[in-house]
Amino acid sequence: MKIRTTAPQSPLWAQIILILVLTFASSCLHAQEMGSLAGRVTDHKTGDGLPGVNIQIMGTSKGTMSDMEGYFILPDLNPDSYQLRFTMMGYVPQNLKDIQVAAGITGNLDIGLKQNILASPQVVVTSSRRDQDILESPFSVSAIGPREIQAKAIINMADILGYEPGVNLVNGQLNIRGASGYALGAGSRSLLLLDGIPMLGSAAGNISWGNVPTSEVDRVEIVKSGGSAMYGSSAMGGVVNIITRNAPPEPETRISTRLGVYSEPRVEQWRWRDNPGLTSMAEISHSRSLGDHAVWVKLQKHRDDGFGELNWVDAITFSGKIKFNFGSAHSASIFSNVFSEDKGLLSTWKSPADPFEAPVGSEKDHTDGVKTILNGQYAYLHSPELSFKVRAGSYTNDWVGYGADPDYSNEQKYFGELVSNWVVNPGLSTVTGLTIQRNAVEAQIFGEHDSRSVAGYLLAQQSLRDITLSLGGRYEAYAVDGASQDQVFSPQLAINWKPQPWLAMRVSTAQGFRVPTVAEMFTRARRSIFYVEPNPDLIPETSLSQEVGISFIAGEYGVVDLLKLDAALFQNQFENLIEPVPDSMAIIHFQNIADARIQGAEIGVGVSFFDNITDLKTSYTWLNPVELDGDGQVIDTLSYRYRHHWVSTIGIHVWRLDGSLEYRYASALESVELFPENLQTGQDRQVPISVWNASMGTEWSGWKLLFRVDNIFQYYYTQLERNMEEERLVTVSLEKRL
Amino acid sequence: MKRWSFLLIIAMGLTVTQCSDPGGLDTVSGVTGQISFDPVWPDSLEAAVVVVFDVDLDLDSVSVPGYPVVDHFVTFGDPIEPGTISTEYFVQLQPGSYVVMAIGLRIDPAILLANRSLFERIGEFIVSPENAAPRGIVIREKRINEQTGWYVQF
Repeated sequence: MKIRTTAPQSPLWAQIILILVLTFASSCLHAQEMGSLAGRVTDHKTGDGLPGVNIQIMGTSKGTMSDMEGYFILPDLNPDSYQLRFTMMGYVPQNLKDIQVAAGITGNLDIGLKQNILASPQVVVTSSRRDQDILESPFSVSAIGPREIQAKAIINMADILGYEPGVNLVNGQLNIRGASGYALGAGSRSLLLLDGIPMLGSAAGNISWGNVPTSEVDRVEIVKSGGSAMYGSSAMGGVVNIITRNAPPEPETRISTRLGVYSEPRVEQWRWRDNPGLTSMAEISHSRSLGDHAVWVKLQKHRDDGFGELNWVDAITFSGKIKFNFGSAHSASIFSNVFSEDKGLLSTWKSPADPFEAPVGSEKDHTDGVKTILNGQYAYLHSPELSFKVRAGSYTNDWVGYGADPDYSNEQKYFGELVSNWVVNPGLSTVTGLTIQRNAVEAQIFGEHDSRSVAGYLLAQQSLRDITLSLGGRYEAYAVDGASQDQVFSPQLAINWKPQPWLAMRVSTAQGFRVPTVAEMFTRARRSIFYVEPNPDLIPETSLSQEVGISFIAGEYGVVDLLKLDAALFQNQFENLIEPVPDSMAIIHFQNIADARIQGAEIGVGVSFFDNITDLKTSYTWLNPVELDGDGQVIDTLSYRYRHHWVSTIGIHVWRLDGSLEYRYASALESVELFPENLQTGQDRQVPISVWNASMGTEWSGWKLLFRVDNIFQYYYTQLERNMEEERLVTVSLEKRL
Repeated sequence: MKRWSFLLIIAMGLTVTQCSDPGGLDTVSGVTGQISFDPVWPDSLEAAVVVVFDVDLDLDSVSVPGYPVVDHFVTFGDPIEPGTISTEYFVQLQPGSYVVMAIGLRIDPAILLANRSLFERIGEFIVSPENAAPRGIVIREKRINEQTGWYVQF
């Protein structure tokens, strides 16, 4: 880092005019003469200028961002001593203390930032619906940056989320701190957003991970504290916001391919095919600027034999995004994703002696469908204090099921939102929004139904020295099949105390709700030997969540380059929780069971050592998920929740090699719905999850090569009963950027 | 510093090797085979199942009212729908000696599964086949006992 103090150079006549102007101005305004800071932010290793670095003057609302070459200027500063904070995704944040600004002088400040895979985004947008330092977030947030996503070269975003603190997936159903469990894929209590627009299916309220263009994701933000004040129904367990990238200014074409082979089952008895299963993916993408605008498009073909007889997938995806820039005040973007998928449909295995084979008669079961997303966003910056955003999105999902139980479904979802951000004064900011949503479905197992909702929300955040107080609420009304169903108000209150730039503590409480989905109210279908029948009398489930937490992010200290820590204690109390419950006639109805409570603790640590040669990311989550009777007495353990969940990733970066070793552990499920463990015969045994993955990659002259092994030790387990999980998969990925 | 990293890699490698004891699901033991039925099923039957009892079961008393069949019951396989002519079956069992038989059920097996109390009265719902005699089997650790050539007529 170099700090020089120089007077700005300018011609004599200009200096005279400047002096006259300044003299006049000062005599009129009695203003104090100001100073400024200017400089360049570069990559410590390469010396390249870094665009988009967030530069914040601590203790003030002032700040700026570096330009395309890494240059920045902070004008109009009172002569004083300042503390500056430089942050950028994928780089270690850096604080500079005692930066002196003198009157009439432009201080020159050059700084180099160090790359770090753990240095996930420091500015998040999801928890308070505005740009905010992650340490000032009133709720528990974790963020995954693009380097971390690209380092795994995965196709399905779910494969990354399962290694985040407190996040796991049961048969694809997203679980944040145990909120969802598994409800036959219906009624997620964790909301998935794509660029801020809800992406849950209109019929089942489920998540289709194929809709996420993983290789085009800029970052992922996970809000883990419950509450629906900002995002409404389904956000009661948390929110995952996947933010797609904008095209870079320089034209770029990227060609990538991924080939993989599944191992034969380790157990001789389970081997079921003559040749090993293969998986392949080919992708081409191009991005470029078009005047002031920018665009990227991507085409991907994915074929996977699967590790089991009905785990096969044959898919093709086309996606693209156009970002329009109409001057400094107006911008807009349009994103589209068309995902065509033909895939096997597995209900249960054939038997525990043949766990990778499909039951007799269901070998041909598959679905063929197309999911189409069209999202748009328009942003208007009225002034530095007031801005507006309009979001609109449509999501259609049409599929046909073939095989033993033929089926079809046509689903549409439409969403619209108007949001305003108003900085009332340097200490007070507000977010106000209005949303409308419509879901329509016509399906064999659901019938033909339509639901609509309208909601308004307000969040105010007041900063008082180191303390930020957040107070907000959301009012939502919804109707099903034209009849008003319910109205819900969800308030939230949170306090964040940030006594140091590297330390923050938070406490929050929030109410959440989830309206029952069409699938939960109207499904009539068969599941294994059980039948599911409709229950149109379902009412919304509600939650009251509390959390206390502490976050810590520190830069260089001895051999430690970066240390991040986040710890939280939390409780989520549910009322009228909707769960699938088999009755004495073996008929499953989704019912409002009495009450439930999930208490837990979570700690996550990220640390990198030795000039970023080694990094470690580890987290542990403990849950106590229980069902309660009307008197608050514990009557059972909630099904499909893991009491202990531990994930760790160790990375090594030497020469041009990047290696990583991942471990995921979850204790055995203590409660399931359909087939509990038979202790007498050993049937339907539940075991912990204990999976190791490893990868080794390198980048050279625009080439990127990655070897990866998932489930190295061929550990076998089930999550959903009678469904074997992942087999060992060895993949090679090769990418060329042109 | 790189030396420390290499030491860390080696330590990690050793840890992985030591911790990689596969404690997950593994080979199971049980009884399997192909079972054939007379095409004409009595209307009273809701399903057929391959059911497993312990070796103390008194086979002559299975259909006698009051006989505690449930005391000798171990488990049963997946339900076989009425009208089935031939199908595969598998029943997972711990090592030991058992009696296996195919029976008809006068109750929906899903209802039986959902109401554990009905097991107390399971003898009331059983229809013994006319021709297929129960078989005594021995299950060994991680082995599948194959019982073929079953033809059942209710």
